[in-house]
Amino acid sequence: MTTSRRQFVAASAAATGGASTWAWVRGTEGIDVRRPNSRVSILTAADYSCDLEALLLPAIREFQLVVRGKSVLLKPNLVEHVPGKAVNTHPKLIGAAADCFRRLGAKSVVVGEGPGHERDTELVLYETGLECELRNRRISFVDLNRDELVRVKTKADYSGIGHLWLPRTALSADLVVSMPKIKTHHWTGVTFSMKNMFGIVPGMKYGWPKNVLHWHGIHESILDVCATVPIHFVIADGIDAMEGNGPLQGELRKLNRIVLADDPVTADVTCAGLMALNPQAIAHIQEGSRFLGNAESNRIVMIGEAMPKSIEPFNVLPDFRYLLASR
Amino acid sequence: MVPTAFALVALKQFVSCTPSEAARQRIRTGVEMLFDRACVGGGWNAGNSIVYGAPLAPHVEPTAIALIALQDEFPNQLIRDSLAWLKLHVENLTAIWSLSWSILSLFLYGIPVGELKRRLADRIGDGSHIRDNAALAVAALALRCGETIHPFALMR
Repeated sequence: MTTSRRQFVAASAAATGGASTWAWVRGTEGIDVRRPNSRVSILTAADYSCDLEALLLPAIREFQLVVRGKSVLLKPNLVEHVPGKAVNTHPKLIGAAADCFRRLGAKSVVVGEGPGHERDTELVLYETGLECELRNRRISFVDLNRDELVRVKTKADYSGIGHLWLPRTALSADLVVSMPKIKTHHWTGVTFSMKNMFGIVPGMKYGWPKNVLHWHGIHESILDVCATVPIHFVIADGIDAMEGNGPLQGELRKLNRIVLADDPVTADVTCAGLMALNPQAIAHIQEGSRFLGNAESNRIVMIGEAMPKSIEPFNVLPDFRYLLASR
Repeated sequence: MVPTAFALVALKQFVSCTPSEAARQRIRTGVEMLFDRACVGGGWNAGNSIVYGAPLAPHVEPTAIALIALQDEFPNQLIRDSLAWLKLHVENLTAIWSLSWSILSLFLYGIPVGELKRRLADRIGDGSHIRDNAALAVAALALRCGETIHPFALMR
């Protein structure tokens, strides 16, 4: 991997006095996994008690994914249980997604996550209700913080880390489905499908809260991880979302949306749009649009519902006001 | 802070007979670091205690391990608060990893752990469903806590 040097300047920077200027020390060369067109679907759901499987299944079918005979890894966002806060991907949505992929003929469906803050994954499963949901539906769970590890060369070199030890479950899955919670984030501005992939990086090797990746740069590490373990599909939980001081202590924001996409950059751009934030000002999304997926509207096909005409912007921390101002 | 806590246990254990000034200073640095990272009201989590002015909640396992590392320190208000927090939060705990570390920790402070051990044994059953060997190992140590040598009890 080369270490080409270049400067990323978010499109908003000029308007905001450079608030979101991001200097990439390293980069990537030769990798471009973008497809000609990407597809995204926005679904409306009042709450988690509705028939999520009935909502998801026809919507996933529209993407015509090749699922039959494939091993599917669902990667939700589990951090810790904070009563009253929309911190984690909801268990009902995870369970419904798992059943959808089984009905579409998947050879196997497992849920895997390596929480980045609470070190006891079993405790997170119990407290969030996910353990019960998975048990009732007979779905396996893999603790990615403690899975068997494989050393792999990163397919991009933004962080300079070079190699990562990654869980075999994530590397061997035919179909990786990122299932983020739509939230603000006090380090990266937002956390969607790409940031969610931090959870595949094992705590047993890199510590909690995944310190090595933080030291190498969060945006840089997100790009390296997503280049190395491609996201094939996204189901983003925005029914209950979070604004303000996310990802743990923000306020509940009823967004009542689920975002599906066959491209992580497209998904993240759409999630940002639903929060009335500028995705071009989020460093890893902007840079990811150069090689990981599509951000330009002329390369994105909306399936089903259109973007809401009027959106009240999500509250953000003062450091991230440029995400609003640059729209 | 968990690596710091384990490093403290090792340092305290290894230099207990022949403490050097350098080791003593290093231990003090570690202890102060743990005190510095404590959550508001006691207890610890794996990372920062305050982010953007908002306090983060403590977690059971880091709190238990920090208290193991601090077992020979003067029981100041922070240690007492943390111990009280752990006792409260272990009451309804069933997760094997956190419960095991809580037993190993509370025992060192003279707190009865018999009921917790019974609960842990119930949760484990025959152990066949536990895929995490680390959890199984810590649980085995916790179940024998008080019956054999405590692996994390400091020599004093």
